[in-house]
Amino acid sequence: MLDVTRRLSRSATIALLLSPVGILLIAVARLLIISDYNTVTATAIVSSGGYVATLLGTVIPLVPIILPYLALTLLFLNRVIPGMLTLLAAAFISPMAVTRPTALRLAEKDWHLIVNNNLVIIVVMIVLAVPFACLLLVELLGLGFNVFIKTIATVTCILLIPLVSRLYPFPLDRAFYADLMRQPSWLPAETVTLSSGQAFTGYVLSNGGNWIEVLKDDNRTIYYYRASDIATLAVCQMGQATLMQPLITLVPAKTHAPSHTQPCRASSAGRPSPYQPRTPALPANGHEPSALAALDHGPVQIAQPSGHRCEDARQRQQAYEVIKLVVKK
Amino acid sequence: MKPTAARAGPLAIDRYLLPSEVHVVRLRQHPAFLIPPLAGTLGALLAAIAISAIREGNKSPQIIVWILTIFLLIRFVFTAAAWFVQYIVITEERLLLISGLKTRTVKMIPLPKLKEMTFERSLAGRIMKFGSFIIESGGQIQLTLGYIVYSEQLYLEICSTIFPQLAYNEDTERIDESPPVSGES
Repeated sequence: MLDVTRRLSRSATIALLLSPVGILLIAVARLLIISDYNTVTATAIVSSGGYVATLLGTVIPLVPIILPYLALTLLFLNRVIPGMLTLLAAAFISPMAVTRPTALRLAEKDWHLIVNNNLVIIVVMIVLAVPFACLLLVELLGLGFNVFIKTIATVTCILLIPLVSRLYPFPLDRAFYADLMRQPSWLPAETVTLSSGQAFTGYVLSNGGNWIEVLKDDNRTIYYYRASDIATLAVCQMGQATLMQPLITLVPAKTHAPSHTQPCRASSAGRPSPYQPRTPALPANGHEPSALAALDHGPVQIAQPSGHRCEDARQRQQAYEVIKLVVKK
Repeated sequence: MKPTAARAGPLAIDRYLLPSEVHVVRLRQHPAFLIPPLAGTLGALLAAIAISAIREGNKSPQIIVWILTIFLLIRFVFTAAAWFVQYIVITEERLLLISGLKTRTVKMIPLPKLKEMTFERSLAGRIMKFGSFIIESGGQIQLTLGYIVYSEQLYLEICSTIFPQLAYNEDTERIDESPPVSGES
């Protein structure tokens, strides 16, 4: 019991989670969630985006959310300097749920409520405040500045909890985390409109000239589309856009509303996509069915169940040419 | 060898002494040891009461605040209990630090090792009458015994145990016997 805070601050488990190995494990877990637990799709995503993008994409969206709470935790565990730096970082990067004037008004209102409390409670607070002030003075003058600042950090952490919880509300909704985990956040969601006029939401994994590799949002399957089949690609917003600013902005606050990204189309999970290939999966020998799919002006789906995937766009193009010749003959 | 009244201490201490061993000094740390956890707990309690006045919005932050305050309160109670059972014992041969509420720990330092010891008294120590012994070995700090009551007397006691020839030798007598300084030259 005595050593709980000391043990937490020196925890080997936390050190492992924050180490590259821990972050790698978290990134792998997240990749599998994104790809609906299909290792082939996960590998394809990594090969397109790279490990660094995956790692950063896993960590970055979580940073603004957890930073204020991490700061409070560090302060409570008497890690004063890291706690203050984290709090400062949160003020710079974590978007607030309310505007800056509202945040100030909230603090003022809280202070007003505390001061105009019941008389008995005020007396109790004064009775506690006097010995507390004396002890702080003894700490400052006698026990050293380090001991003094650690006590201040603990009390500040407790005082800040209600304010932080209102400025940076911690999302407790399970759906929020499910969505966050399922979205490959290092890639923007895009509305892909085909030349036939049909549109869907997906993530463009690679755009290498003739072929475009897309991870469809609804069924989490990778498709290859010929560039000529795609009419438009437009970045869209999954869920609700965050329009709030952090507490401290490096550039002057905008006088107009921030630019708004179009919301993504509703997911059509559960029903078959009009672009679902007629052959559910490619056989092991590869090129011919994909070429046939291409001939059919449909997308080329990655061969997930059999564990094989198409080699690359150039090979598919060659196969496509061969089959076209055969069909002509 | 010398069954003395000094042995009439708490049983918890006597348990760790050899039959022939006599404890020269036995003491607890200064109550100032409890100031930092007490200040934290009082401050947290004050903050929690103040926050309870905010009756708007979600109640969960207030619950978290009270949970943390109760945690600090329990931690303080445990610290106080641990302080109560912690003893520093000096015998003619060794220094013992007996501590631990749940797991009893007995740290032992042979007195010759205390030759590499630093005695420190902070401002608060001088005001509240406590000091610290920093025991080093090979240039590295082995143990810090903070909040030692009667630290000056204890320091002299340790020195006299380690260097008995300095404590009771002819010099002492010579000083006593030396003629008074005659006038101001």
